[in-house]
Amino acid sequence: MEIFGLLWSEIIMRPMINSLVFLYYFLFSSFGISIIVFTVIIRLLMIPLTVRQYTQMKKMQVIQPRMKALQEKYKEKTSDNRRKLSQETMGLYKEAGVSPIGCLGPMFIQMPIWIGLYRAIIKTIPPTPEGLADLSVLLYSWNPGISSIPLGSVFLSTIDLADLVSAAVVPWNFALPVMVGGSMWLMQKMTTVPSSDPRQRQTNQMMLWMMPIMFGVFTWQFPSGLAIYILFSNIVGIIIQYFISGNEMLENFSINPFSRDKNIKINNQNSLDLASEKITKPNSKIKDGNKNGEEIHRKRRKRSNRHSSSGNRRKARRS
Amino acid sequence: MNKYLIGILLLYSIVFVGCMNDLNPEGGWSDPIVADNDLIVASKDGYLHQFNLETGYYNDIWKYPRGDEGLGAIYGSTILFDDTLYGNSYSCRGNDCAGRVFAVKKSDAIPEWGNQNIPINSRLIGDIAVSEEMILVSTGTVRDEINDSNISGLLISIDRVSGFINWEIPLDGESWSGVYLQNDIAYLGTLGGSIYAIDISKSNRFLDDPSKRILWTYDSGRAIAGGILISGDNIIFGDFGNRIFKISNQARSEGLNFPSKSEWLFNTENWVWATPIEDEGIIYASTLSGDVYAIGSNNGEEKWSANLDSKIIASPIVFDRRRGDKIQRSLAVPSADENVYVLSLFDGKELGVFATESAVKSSPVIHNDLIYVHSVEGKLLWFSTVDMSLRGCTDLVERKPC
Repeated sequence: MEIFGLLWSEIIMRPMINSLVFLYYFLFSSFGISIIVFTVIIRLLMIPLTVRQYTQMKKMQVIQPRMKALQEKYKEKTSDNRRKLSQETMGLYKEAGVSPIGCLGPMFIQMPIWIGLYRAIIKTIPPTPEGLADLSVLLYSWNPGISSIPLGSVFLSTIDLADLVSAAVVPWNFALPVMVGGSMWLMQKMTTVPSSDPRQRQTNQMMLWMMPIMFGVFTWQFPSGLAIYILFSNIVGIIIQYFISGNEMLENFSINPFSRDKNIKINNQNSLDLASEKITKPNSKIKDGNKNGEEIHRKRRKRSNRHSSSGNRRKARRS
Repeated sequence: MNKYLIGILLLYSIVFVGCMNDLNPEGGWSDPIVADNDLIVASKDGYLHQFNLETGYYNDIWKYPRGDEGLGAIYGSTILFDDTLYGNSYSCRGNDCAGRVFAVKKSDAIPEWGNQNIPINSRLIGDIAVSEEMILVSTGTVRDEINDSNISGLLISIDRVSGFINWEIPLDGESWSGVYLQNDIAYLGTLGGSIYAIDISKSNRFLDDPSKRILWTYDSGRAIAGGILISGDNIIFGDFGNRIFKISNQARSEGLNFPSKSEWLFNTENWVWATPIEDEGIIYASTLSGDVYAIGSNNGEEKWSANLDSKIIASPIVFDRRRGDKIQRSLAVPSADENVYVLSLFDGKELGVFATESAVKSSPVIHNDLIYVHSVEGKLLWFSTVDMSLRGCTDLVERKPC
């Protein structure tokens, strides 16, 4: 266990604490700015993980209809069915290049970084004598920021970053939890991949509301510095997500003028139909299924365009 | 998938809630004191306890406060003055801190000032100072409710008898060092890096503006968190710039450039928190990385140094260790690595350890060939200074032998 503690300290905590102190020294002795700049750097470094997570989620979305069809096929709960369902599900994952916890894997990798940063902020502006004494052995001797210890913790002249959000002055004591919860909801909404599976939709819905509410409530009892970190981490996350998923994310809000919402539903329905067929033909490829789905989808789109254009023509004649 | 997500949420909650401990002060740094045949110690759970040195038993009847709620975290040492124990403590929610100064009769644990502690909206970390007329308390950031603003730090004078505040002087930063008295001059250090010399005499000159009491200030440029040793007309202290200073009251009053003839500066390997001590013209000081130095008081030259590879927060003590017919002058250095180290006073060589099995952040005390150590875990342990064996232990939190 001691080795894990040592690795945690040397690989995550010390570099983070020293970076924060270093940035403080060069960024106008403002701990608020150093937290923001550090958060941006960390989020940028984690872009490959974010992209991977998103890709995995998309793949999961594609195979959802087939998963559902499999569950339908083996809905009778016999031990033989359970075994077959498990086998075929794993086969499906393998075929699609999806790891069952692939979407969560990157999240697991990011977690130590988030937790480390959280602890680093608390340790860099320690409110207790124990914390300040501990800081002495965490700083690198070459770090020029050592001369600034203890760091000033007031940001924007009103927010004490070491102080609890609940104790901050009005309106920050209310604004910070709301902003943290709001930004988290927005990011959650953007990163959620639409699903045809009702159970998955339910989970997504739960996550969409539960995480922001939970973090909003937690923030009330966090140091303001941490709230600033979470807020900017979310903001940067939203921007990164926009660049990764482009217009697709707007579909989650039904505000995309080029919305493919309807198409997605149709596509999913087709995939579902096709998936049922595919199960009877185990050697067929997902790719083919998608192709067929697109084909049908194209035909339906043409048909719907035709309907709308003939409707328009009728309107024009009447006028 | 649901299970994984719920698992992640739970993990987040546990980690975040667990980390909140870093925000709460723990205390347990207060030095035990010997008064008559009793040892008074402030435990980690915020209570003052009395322990009879003759019988070796914990005094069940004597406890302050008597209720279920303790005084909060106690870092500063308790001072015995005129059969009354004075001290300070605080508790916090983030930076929203409630400090209190308490006074309690040593004989019967009855509080002074009509059962009231004096509230100060701040962290109270360093030692207080007590004189015939007043109690001096240095504070952390103080919340000014009237103006809805923060004052970086204050030196507060409290009437010792009535408990009313006499005067306050704003400081350039939080003061965690505590206040140290010599005649009518109080010395204190701040995290802003300044040393203050303050006139505490009774005089009408200061009525309109208590800040006129400031005799001089010295800016070391780095935070001063540890205590101050007064040596004649000089003071000795360490800072977070890895330095130990000896500065002269007279030279500072005259505004001479530092270092003047009687002053010096000694470089260390790490931050200095523990208050230096002096014994027969030698200063013993330590750092947070475990370095111990013996420095000539007159010239600031190193006699010897040792490294214990552990955080040293409390001052060492000098004691006589009996070895048969011989008496060996030794230095007991409390450390955060679960040991109190015994070093030779002459060359710094390690002579042995008192194994406390828990970090020690307060100075030990010696009484009749026994050394009493208060560990941060809340245990009072005593060892023989002759053979260094453990002779007894009391759990102050559980209030029973351990």
